[in-house]
Amino acid sequence: MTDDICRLVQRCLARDQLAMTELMDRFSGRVFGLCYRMLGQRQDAEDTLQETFTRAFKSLHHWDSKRAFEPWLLAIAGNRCRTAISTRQRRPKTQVLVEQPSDGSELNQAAKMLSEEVQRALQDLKPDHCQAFVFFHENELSYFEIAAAMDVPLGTVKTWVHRARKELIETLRQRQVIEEPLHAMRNV
Amino acid sequence: MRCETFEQRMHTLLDNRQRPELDDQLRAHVAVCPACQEQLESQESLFAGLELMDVPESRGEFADAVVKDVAQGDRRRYFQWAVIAAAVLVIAGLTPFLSGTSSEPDPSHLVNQPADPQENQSPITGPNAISTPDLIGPNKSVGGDYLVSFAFSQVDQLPDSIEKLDSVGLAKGLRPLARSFNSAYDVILRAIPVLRDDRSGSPQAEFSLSIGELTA
Repeated sequence: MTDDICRLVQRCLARDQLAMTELMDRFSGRVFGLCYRMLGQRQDAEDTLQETFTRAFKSLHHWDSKRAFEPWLLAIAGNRCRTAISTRQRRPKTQVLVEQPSDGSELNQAAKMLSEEVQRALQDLKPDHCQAFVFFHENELSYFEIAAAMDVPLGTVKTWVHRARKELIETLRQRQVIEEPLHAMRNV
Repeated sequence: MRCETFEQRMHTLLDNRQRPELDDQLRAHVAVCPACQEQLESQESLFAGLELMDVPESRGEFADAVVKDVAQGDRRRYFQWAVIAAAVLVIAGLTPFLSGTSSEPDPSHLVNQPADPQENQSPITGPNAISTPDLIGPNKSVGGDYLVSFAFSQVDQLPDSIEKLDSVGLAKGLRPLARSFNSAYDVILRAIPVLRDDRSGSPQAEFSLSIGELTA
Protein backbone atom coordinates (compact mmCIF):
# COMPACT_ATOMS: atom_id res chain seq x y z
CA MET A 1 0.00 0.00 0.00
CA THR A 2 2.71 2.47 1.06
CA ASP A 3 4.96 1.52 -1.87
CA ASP A 4 1.99 1.79 -4.13
CA ILE A 5 1.28 5.31 -2.86
CA CYS A 6 4.98 6.23 -3.15
CA ARG A 7 5.05 5.19 -6.80
CA LEU A 8 1.84 7.08 -7.46
CA VAL A 9 3.24 10.17 -5.78
CA GLN A 10 6.45 9.92 -7.81
CA ARG A 11 4.40 9.85 -10.99
CA CYS A 12 2.37 12.83 -9.75
CA LEU A 13 5.60 14.71 -9.10
CA ALA A 14 6.48 14.09 -12.74
CA ARG A 15 3.10 15.66 -13.53
CA ASP A 16 1.63 12.46 -14.93
CA GLN A 17 -2.02 13.46 -15.28
CA LEU A 18 -3.30 9.89 -15.10
CA ALA A 19 -1.51 9.40 -11.80
CA MET A 20 -2.94 12.64 -10.48
CA THR A 21 -6.45 11.53 -11.41
CA GLU A 22 -5.84 8.12 -9.83
CA LEU A 23 -4.64 9.71 -6.59
CA MET A 24 -7.70 11.96 -6.49
CA ASP A 25 -10.02 9.02 -7.17
CA ARG A 26 -8.45 7.12 -4.33
CA PHE A 27 -8.66 9.81 -1.67
CA SER A 28 -11.39 12.19 -2.76
CA GLY A 29 -14.11 10.33 -0.81
CA ARG A 30 -12.28 10.64 2.51
CA VAL A 31 -11.25 14.23 1.88
CA PHE A 32 -14.74 15.21 0.78
CA GLY A 33 -16.17 13.50 3.87
CA LEU A 34 -13.96 15.58 6.15
CA CYS A 35 -14.79 18.79 4.27
CA TYR A 36 -18.49 18.07 4.35
CA ARG A 37 -18.44 17.27 8.07
CA MET A 38 -16.55 20.43 8.91
CA LEU A 39 -18.39 22.78 6.56
CA GLY A 40 -21.85 21.22 6.37
CA GLN A 41 -22.50 22.33 2.80
CA ARG A 42 -21.88 20.48 -0.41
CA GLN A 43 -20.78 23.49 -2.44
CA ASP A 44 -18.28 24.69 0.16
CA ALA A 45 -17.05 21.13 0.62
CA GLU A 46 -16.49 20.70 -3.12
CA ASP A 47 -14.63 23.99 -3.39
CA THR A 48 -12.44 22.99 -0.47
CA LEU A 49 -11.89 19.54 -1.96
CA GLN A 50 -10.56 21.14 -5.13
CA GLU A 51 -8.35 23.55 -3.19
CA THR A 52 -7.03 20.69 -1.09
CA PHE A 53 -5.86 18.64 -4.05
CA THR A 54 -4.47 21.66 -5.88
CA ARG A 55 -2.45 22.58 -2.81
CA ALA A 56 -1.43 18.98 -2.19
CA PHE A 57 -0.04 18.55 -5.72
CA LYS A 58 1.83 21.83 -5.47
CA SER A 59 3.49 20.82 -2.22
CA LEU A 60 3.77 17.10 -2.89
CA HIS A 61 7.56 17.30 -2.73
CA HIS A 62 7.21 18.24 0.97
CA TRP A 63 5.54 14.95 1.83
CA ASP A 64 7.82 12.64 3.83
CA SER A 65 7.44 9.20 2.29
CA LYS A 66 8.27 7.60 5.66
CA ARG A 67 4.97 8.88 6.99
CA ALA A 68 1.45 7.92 6.00
CA PHE A 69 0.06 9.84 3.07
CA GLU A 70 -3.56 10.08 4.13
CA PRO A 71 -3.07 12.01 7.40
CA TRP A 72 -0.84 14.44 5.50
CA LEU A 73 -3.54 14.97 2.89
CA LEU A 74 -6.31 15.22 5.48
CA ALA A 75 -4.26 17.78 7.39
CA ILE A 76 -4.21 19.96 4.27
CA ALA A 77 -7.96 19.48 3.92
CA GLY A 78 -8.49 20.38 7.58
CA ASN A 79 -6.45 23.56 7.19
CA ARG A 80 -8.41 24.54 4.08
CA CYS A 81 -11.67 23.91 5.95
CA ARG A 82 -10.56 26.09 8.85
CA THR A 83 -9.67 28.84 6.39
CA ALA A 84 -13.08 28.45 4.75
CA ILE A 85 -14.80 28.63 8.14
CA SER A 86 -12.94 31.81 9.12
CA THR A 87 -13.77 33.35 5.71
CA ARG A 88 -17.39 32.42 6.22
CA GLN A 89 -17.37 34.03 9.68
CA ARG A 90 -16.10 37.31 8.20
CA ARG A 91 -18.99 37.40 5.76
CA PRO A 92 -22.35 38.86 6.85
CA LYS A 93 -24.12 36.37 9.08
CA THR A 94 -26.44 34.03 7.28
CA GLN A 95 -28.03 30.87 8.49
CA VAL A 96 -25.98 27.90 7.36
CA LEU A 97 -28.41 25.29 6.27
CA VAL A 98 -27.07 21.83 6.82
CA GLU A 99 -27.77 19.85 3.72
CA GLN A 100 -28.76 16.27 4.09
CA PRO A 101 -28.59 14.08 1.01
CA SER A 102 -32.10 13.27 -0.15
CA ASP A 103 -31.37 9.83 -1.50
CA GLY A 104 -34.76 8.37 -0.65
CA SER A 105 -33.30 6.30 2.17
CA GLU A 106 -35.53 4.46 4.62
CA LEU A 107 -34.40 6.38 7.66
CA ASN A 108 -37.32 7.20 9.83
CA GLN A 109 -38.05 10.76 10.71
CA ALA A 110 -36.47 10.63 14.19
CA ALA A 111 -33.24 9.11 12.94
CA LYS A 112 -33.04 11.62 10.12
CA MET A 113 -33.59 14.46 12.52
CA LEU A 114 -30.90 13.09 14.85
CA SER A 115 -28.33 12.88 12.06
CA GLU A 116 -29.18 16.42 10.91
CA GLU A 117 -28.83 17.74 14.42
CA VAL A 118 -25.48 16.03 14.92
CA GLN A 119 -24.23 17.54 11.66
CA ARG A 120 -25.46 20.95 12.78
CA ALA A 121 -23.88 20.53 16.20
CA LEU A 122 -20.56 19.76 14.50
CA GLN A 123 -20.73 23.20 12.88
CA ASP A 124 -21.01 24.79 16.32
CA LEU A 125 -17.75 23.24 17.54
CA LYS A 126 -14.47 25.11 17.38
CA PRO A 127 -12.80 24.20 14.08
CA ASP A 128 -9.85 22.55 15.86
CA HIS A 129 -12.12 20.42 18.02
CA CYS A 130 -14.30 19.52 15.07
CA GLN A 131 -11.29 18.55 12.95
CA ALA A 132 -9.82 16.38 15.71
CA PHE A 133 -13.20 14.75 16.36
CA VAL A 134 -13.83 13.96 12.69
CA PHE A 135 -10.26 12.72 12.24
CA PHE A 136 -10.70 10.35 15.14
CA HIS A 137 -14.28 9.14 14.80
CA GLU A 138 -14.86 9.40 11.06
CA ASN A 139 -11.48 9.05 9.42
CA GLU A 140 -10.33 6.67 12.15
CA LEU A 141 -6.88 8.18 12.47
CA SER A 142 -4.96 7.37 15.63
CA TYR A 143 -4.22 10.05 18.19
CA PHE A 144 -0.58 9.95 17.13
CA GLU A 145 -1.49 10.54 13.50
CA ILE A 146 -3.83 13.38 14.43
CA ALA A 147 -1.18 15.00 16.62
CA ALA A 148 1.33 14.81 13.77
CA ALA A 149 -1.18 16.04 11.19
CA MET A 150 -2.39 18.96 13.28
CA ASP A 151 1.07 19.69 14.70
CA VAL A 152 -0.09 19.72 18.31
CA PRO A 153 0.84 17.56 21.33
CA LEU A 154 -0.88 14.22 21.82
CA GLY A 155 -2.52 15.37 25.06
CA THR A 156 -4.03 18.35 23.29
CA VAL A 157 -5.62 16.11 20.68
CA LYS A 158 -7.15 13.89 23.36
CA THR A 159 -8.48 16.93 25.19
CA TRP A 160 -9.98 18.32 21.99
CA VAL A 161 -11.72 15.05 21.14
CA HIS A 162 -13.09 14.66 24.68
CA ARG A 163 -14.31 18.26 24.71
CA ALA A 164 -15.87 17.81 21.28
CA ARG A 165 -17.86 14.82 22.55
CA LYS A 166 -19.05 16.74 25.61
CA GLU A 167 -19.93 19.85 23.64
CA LEU A 168 -21.80 17.85 21.03
CA ILE A 169 -23.90 16.18 23.70
CA GLU A 170 -24.49 19.52 25.38
CA THR A 171 -25.64 21.06 22.10
CA LEU A 172 -27.95 18.14 21.39
CA ARG A 173 -29.43 18.53 24.85
CA GLN A 174 -29.97 22.25 24.40
CA ARG A 175 -31.83 21.51 21.20
CA GLN A 176 -33.78 18.87 23.05
CA VAL A 177 -32.67 16.19 20.68
CA ILE A 178 -31.61 14.11 23.65
CA GLU A 179 -32.93 14.32 27.18
CA GLU A 180 -31.49 16.44 29.95
CA PRO A 181 -29.43 14.38 32.36
CA LEU A 182 -31.21 13.61 35.59
CA HIS A 183 -28.62 15.24 37.84
CA ALA A 184 -28.89 18.45 35.87
CA MET A 185 -32.67 18.41 36.17
CA ARG A 186 -32.38 17.81 39.91
CA ASN A 187 -30.24 20.94 40.22
CA VAL A 188 -32.97 23.12 38.71
CA MET B 1 -17.60 2.46 40.96
CA ARG B 2 -17.69 6.21 41.49
CA CYS B 3 -19.24 8.51 38.86
CA GLU B 4 -15.85 10.14 38.03
CA THR B 5 -14.35 6.71 37.44
CA PHE B 6 -17.33 5.85 35.27
CA GLU B 7 -16.74 8.89 33.07
CA GLN B 8 -13.01 8.22 32.78
CA ARG B 9 -13.60 4.60 31.82
CA MET B 10 -16.23 5.60 29.28
CA HIS B 11 -13.79 7.99 27.56
CA THR B 12 -11.02 5.38 27.66
CA LEU B 13 -13.27 2.89 25.92
CA LEU B 14 -14.29 5.47 23.32
CA ASP B 15 -10.61 6.32 22.76
CA ASN B 16 -10.03 2.63 22.07
CA ARG B 17 -12.96 2.62 19.67
CA GLN B 18 -14.96 0.30 21.91
CA ARG B 19 -18.63 0.60 22.75
CA PRO B 20 -19.10 1.64 26.39
CA GLU B 21 -22.63 0.28 26.60
CA LEU B 22 -21.19 -3.22 26.19
CA ASP B 23 -18.76 -2.90 29.08
CA ASP B 24 -19.77 -4.97 32.13
CA GLN B 25 -18.38 -2.56 34.74
CA LEU B 26 -20.17 0.40 33.24
CA ARG B 27 -23.38 -1.53 32.91
CA ALA B 28 -23.18 -2.52 36.54
CA HIS B 29 -22.74 1.12 37.55
CA VAL B 30 -25.55 2.51 35.40
CA ALA B 31 -27.90 -0.04 36.88
CA VAL B 32 -27.64 1.84 40.18
CA CYS B 33 -26.86 5.40 38.94
CA PRO B 34 -29.52 7.06 36.79
CA ALA B 35 -27.36 10.14 36.13
CA CYS B 36 -24.57 8.04 34.63
CA GLN B 37 -27.17 6.07 32.74
CA GLU B 38 -28.31 9.31 31.13
CA GLN B 39 -24.72 10.11 30.23
CA LEU B 40 -24.20 6.72 28.65
CA GLU B 41 -27.40 7.00 26.69
CA SER B 42 -26.40 10.46 25.47
CA GLN B 43 -23.14 9.05 24.13
CA GLU B 44 -25.08 6.26 22.46
CA SER B 45 -27.40 8.80 20.82
CA LEU B 46 -24.45 10.86 19.60
CA PHE B 47 -22.74 7.92 17.99
CA ALA B 48 -26.01 6.64 16.55
CA GLY B 49 -26.44 10.05 14.95
CA LEU B 50 -22.89 9.94 13.60
CA GLU B 51 -23.48 6.54 12.07
CA LEU B 52 -26.69 7.71 10.47
CA MET B 53 -25.05 10.70 8.87
CA ASP B 54 -24.44 10.18 5.20
CA VAL B 55 -21.80 11.94 3.22
CA PRO B 56 -23.01 12.84 -0.26
CA GLU B 57 -20.83 11.86 -3.17
CA SER B 58 -18.73 14.64 -4.60
CA ARG B 59 -19.67 15.44 -8.17
CA GLY B 60 -16.22 14.43 -9.35
CA GLU B 61 -15.88 17.36 -11.76
CA PHE B 62 -13.12 18.85 -9.71
CA ALA B 63 -10.35 16.56 -10.97
CA ASP B 64 -9.98 18.27 -14.36
CA ALA B 65 -9.97 21.67 -12.70
CA VAL B 66 -7.24 20.54 -10.29
CA VAL B 67 -5.03 19.20 -13.09
CA LYS B 68 -5.52 22.44 -15.00
CA ASP B 69 -4.76 24.57 -11.92
CA VAL B 70 -1.57 22.66 -11.19
CA ALA B 71 -0.38 22.93 -14.80
CA GLN B 72 -1.09 26.68 -14.81
CA GLY B 73 0.75 27.04 -11.51
CA ASP B 74 3.79 25.27 -12.97
CA ARG B 75 3.80 27.53 -16.03
CA ARG B 76 3.49 30.59 -13.81
CA ARG B 77 6.41 29.39 -11.72
CA TYR B 78 8.59 28.82 -14.81
CA PHE B 79 7.65 32.28 -16.08
CA GLN B 80 8.58 33.84 -12.72
CA TRP B 81 11.97 32.15 -12.85
CA ALA B 82 12.48 33.34 -16.42
CA VAL B 83 11.65 36.92 -15.39
CA ILE B 84 14.04 36.71 -12.45
CA ALA B 85 16.80 35.32 -14.69
CA ALA B 86 16.22 38.10 -17.25
CA ALA B 87 16.27 40.73 -14.50
CA VAL B 88 19.56 39.36 -13.19
CA LEU B 89 21.06 39.46 -16.69
CA VAL B 90 19.91 43.05 -17.25
CA ILE B 91 21.26 44.14 -13.88
CA ALA B 92 24.55 42.39 -14.60
CA GLY B 93 24.70 44.15 -17.97
CA LEU B 94 23.95 47.57 -16.50
CA THR B 95 26.31 47.27 -13.55
CA PRO B 96 29.33 48.73 -15.42
CA PHE B 97 27.33 51.87 -16.34
CA LEU B 98 25.81 52.29 -12.93
CA SER B 99 29.13 51.92 -11.17
CA GLY B 100 30.83 54.28 -13.65
CA THR B 101 28.29 57.09 -13.49
CA SER B 102 27.49 56.93 -9.81
CA SER B 103 30.88 58.22 -8.57
CA GLU B 104 30.88 61.91 -9.32
CA PRO B 105 34.36 63.41 -9.12
CA ASP B 106 34.96 66.10 -6.54
CA PRO B 107 36.24 69.08 -8.56
CA SER B 108 38.23 70.48 -5.61
CA HIS B 109 40.44 67.39 -5.64
CA LEU B 110 41.04 67.77 -9.32
CA VAL B 111 41.97 71.42 -8.91
CA ASN B 112 44.50 70.51 -6.22
CA GLN B 113 46.16 67.84 -8.32
CA PRO B 114 49.76 68.61 -9.18
CA ALA B 115 50.31 69.73 -12.71
CA ASP B 116 53.36 67.57 -13.21
CA PRO B 117 52.30 64.50 -15.19
CA GLN B 118 55.07 62.47 -13.61
CA GLU B 119 53.64 63.28 -10.17
CA ASN B 120 50.27 62.15 -11.44
CA GLN B 121 51.62 58.88 -12.60
CA SER B 122 53.42 58.21 -9.36
CA PRO B 123 51.62 55.69 -7.23
CA ILE B 124 53.05 57.18 -4.01
CA THR B 125 52.15 60.79 -3.37
CA GLY B 126 50.22 62.92 -0.93
CA PRO B 127 50.37 63.77 2.73
CA ASN B 128 47.74 61.21 3.80
CA ALA B 129 49.52 58.33 2.16
CA ILE B 130 49.71 54.95 3.79
CA SER B 131 53.24 53.79 4.22
CA THR B 132 54.24 50.67 2.32
CA PRO B 133 57.99 50.46 2.82
CA ASP B 134 58.39 46.88 1.60
CA LEU B 135 57.09 47.72 -1.82
CA ILE B 136 58.10 51.27 -2.48
CA GLY B 137 60.81 52.29 -0.11
CA PRO B 138 61.02 54.02 3.23
CA ASN B 139 60.02 57.52 2.10
CA LYS B 140 57.33 56.56 -0.33
CA SER B 141 53.81 55.46 0.30
CA VAL B 142 50.70 54.46 -1.57
CA GLY B 143 48.60 57.56 -1.05
CA GLY B 144 44.84 57.83 -0.66
CA ASP B 145 45.11 60.96 -2.80
CA TYR B 146 46.72 58.97 -5.53
CA LEU B 147 43.96 56.37 -5.44
CA VAL B 148 41.33 59.11 -5.63
CA SER B 149 43.07 60.88 -8.49
CA PHE B 150 43.55 57.57 -10.27
CA ALA B 151 39.88 56.83 -9.92
CA PHE B 152 38.99 60.29 -11.25
CA SER B 153 41.28 59.84 -14.20
CA GLN B 154 39.33 56.66 -14.98
CA VAL B 155 36.04 58.51 -14.54
CA ASP B 156 37.28 61.17 -16.95
CA GLN B 157 37.71 58.49 -19.51
CA LEU B 158 34.12 57.32 -19.00
CA PRO B 159 31.36 58.98 -21.02
CA ASP B 160 30.40 62.35 -19.52
CA SER B 161 26.76 61.73 -20.30
CA ILE B 162 24.57 58.83 -21.04
CA GLU B 163 24.43 59.95 -24.64
CA LYS B 164 27.89 58.50 -25.13
CA LEU B 165 27.04 55.17 -23.63
CA ASP B 166 26.96 53.38 -26.93
CA SER B 167 30.21 54.89 -28.10
CA VAL B 168 32.26 53.17 -25.40
CA GLY B 169 33.27 49.60 -25.71
CA LEU B 170 29.95 47.90 -25.08
CA ALA B 171 29.11 44.39 -25.99
CA LYS B 172 27.11 44.48 -29.20
CA GLY B 173 24.10 42.96 -27.49
CA LEU B 174 23.96 45.83 -25.00
CA ARG B 175 24.08 48.68 -27.51
CA PRO B 176 20.35 48.71 -28.31
CA LEU B 177 19.67 48.65 -24.59
CA ALA B 178 21.97 51.61 -24.03
CA ARG B 179 20.30 53.52 -26.88
CA SER B 180 16.87 52.86 -25.39
CA PHE B 181 18.13 54.03 -22.03
CA ASN B 182 19.55 57.14 -23.67
CA SER B 183 16.26 57.94 -25.42
CA ALA B 184 14.30 57.46 -22.20
CA TYR B 185 16.71 59.76 -20.38
CA ASP B 186 16.24 62.41 -23.08
CA VAL B 187 12.48 62.21 -22.84
CA ILE B 188 12.58 62.54 -19.05
CA LEU B 189 14.84 65.57 -19.22
CA ARG B 190 12.64 67.30 -21.75
CA ALA B 191 9.49 66.50 -19.78
CA ILE B 192 10.71 68.37 -16.70
CA PRO B 193 10.34 72.12 -17.37
CA VAL B 194 12.71 73.18 -14.56
CA LEU B 195 15.56 71.07 -15.81
CA ARG B 196 16.29 72.58 -19.13
CA ASP B 197 18.27 70.22 -21.23
CA ASP B 198 20.54 72.26 -23.44
CA ARG B 199 22.68 69.40 -24.63
CA SER B 200 21.07 69.46 -28.03
CA GLY B 201 18.12 70.88 -29.92
CA SER B 202 14.69 69.42 -30.02
CA PRO B 203 14.54 65.65 -30.51
CA GLN B 204 15.19 64.67 -34.05
CA ALA B 205 14.42 61.51 -35.89
CA GLU B 206 17.52 59.72 -37.08
CA PHE B 207 16.42 60.19 -40.69
CA SER B 208 13.57 62.15 -42.16
CA LEU B 209 11.58 62.17 -45.30
CA SER B 210 10.03 65.26 -46.74
CA ILE B 211 6.33 65.41 -47.34
CA GLY B 212 7.04 65.47 -51.02
CA GLU B 213 9.00 62.25 -50.81
CA LEU B 214 6.23 60.62 -48.86
CA THR B 215 3.52 61.62 -51.27
CA ALA B 216 5.59 60.81 -54.34
